Amino acid sequence: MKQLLRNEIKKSMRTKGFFIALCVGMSIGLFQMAWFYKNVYLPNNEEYAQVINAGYEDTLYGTWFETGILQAWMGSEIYSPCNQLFYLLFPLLAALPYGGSLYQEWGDGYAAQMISRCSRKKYFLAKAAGAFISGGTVVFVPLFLNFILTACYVPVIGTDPLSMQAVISNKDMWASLFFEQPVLYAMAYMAVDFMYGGLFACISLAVTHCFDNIFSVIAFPMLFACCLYYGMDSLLPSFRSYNISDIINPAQLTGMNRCSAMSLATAATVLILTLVYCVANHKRDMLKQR
Amino acid sequence: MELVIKDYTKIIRKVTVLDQINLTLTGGKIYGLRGKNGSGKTMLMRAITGLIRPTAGYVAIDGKKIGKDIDFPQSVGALIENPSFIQEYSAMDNLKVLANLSGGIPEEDIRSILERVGLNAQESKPFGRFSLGMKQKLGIAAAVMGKPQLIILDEPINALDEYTVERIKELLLELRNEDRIILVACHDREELDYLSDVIIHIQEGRIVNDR
Repeated sequence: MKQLLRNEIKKSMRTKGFFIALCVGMSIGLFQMAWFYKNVYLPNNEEYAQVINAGYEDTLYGTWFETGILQAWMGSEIYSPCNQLFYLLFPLLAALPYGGSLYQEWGDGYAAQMISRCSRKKYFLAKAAGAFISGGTVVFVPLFLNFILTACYVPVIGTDPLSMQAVISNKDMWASLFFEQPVLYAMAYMAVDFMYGGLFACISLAVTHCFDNIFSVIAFPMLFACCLYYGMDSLLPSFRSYNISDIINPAQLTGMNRCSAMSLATAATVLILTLVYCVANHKRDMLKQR
Repeated sequence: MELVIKDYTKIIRKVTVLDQINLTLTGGKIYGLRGKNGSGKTMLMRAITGLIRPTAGYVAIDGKKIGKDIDFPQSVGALIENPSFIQEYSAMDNLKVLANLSGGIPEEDIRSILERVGLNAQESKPFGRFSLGMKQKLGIAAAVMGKPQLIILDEPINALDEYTVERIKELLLELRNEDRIILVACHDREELDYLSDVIIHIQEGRIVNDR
């Protein structure tokens, strides 16, 4: 089993989809950083210099707040469109590396090779592990890299709640971390995003049997997330805190993120996913190759 | 080893693809499967390897039913339809991956089987760039690697040159003498007659006769 797991994880990190997803994610991250530096950080610094030089004579003196890391990090920065773009593409990026692998291997006969050498259970488990890790990695790396690079020019300090520049209020989830321990806040959200990246990739695996082409398999998680987002937004507004698209976004755009809702939504996603994955593949026949 | 197929029926979307198959295969013989395209040869092979589940009946290996007592035959090597491997890996690396799953086959044995089917074990060319014949050779090597008790080959000599066909035939006869069950489907009547101890004729999912 160990060997099988190692193989699947290694394979999942060597796909073209893995590199494409990583490149797209990192490009958004780099663009965001450059955009923020030019359009927010530099003008802010100029203003800061003016305020400081003017001293007590400037009315802004004493009300100027230094830009903190969480105002600049792609995960929680909302001035540029990058946060929205990254989290819109999040399910697609996650599914790209290995979400379509079961579809491919089932069709070309490689799955038959594996199933006749280890059990179905082990094969599907290893495949899910590969998809989970690669899906998590491609969303984690851009966020992490963006955080590190941003920290190279923006001080790693918490945002002052009085500055009114924070994207979240002190009533929001993990607000104390956001204001006082920004690194922990970012790390916690990166962990959540890693997990959801993995889960989105596994959603693709679980619905493999429903589709007749690989594009639908890979695109399904994004479609699912969009439907969930707009469906809940318009039909079930009181359940918006369970919305995965909001849960994964450190900017907490709706202001409805709750720890309990996040735990429940995660547990429900894992449960439904496991059930669908197991039921669909337990007795699935391996018929004609494509 | 004894493989028993009892009243095996498989219905897919209301079409009976295997109909009341009854067969007993024992070690030390090559069984040749003959039949037209779509007659059910490949489906029968899939049934034996546990890749499809029966609508009725069962396949049992040494008394253990596939899908009930065991998930798949414990010692099987199969080449069904097109050989498929990891595109980026070389022949050797691909076989190593599979060998590890089969409980670890010594590297020397993998090397030797690659040479026997006519592939260079040292070559680093990835599977994705193999010719059709090379892919087929690797598929056969994977199926017979580690000398499993049950060997299933679907059209093994497709796309192979005459010289390699002879080598494969030699290899199969050798394995037969080592008490393996070998099931081969082949459209080349002459080759199948030469290789097989028993010919199983399949037509529209039914066994019409075996000699």
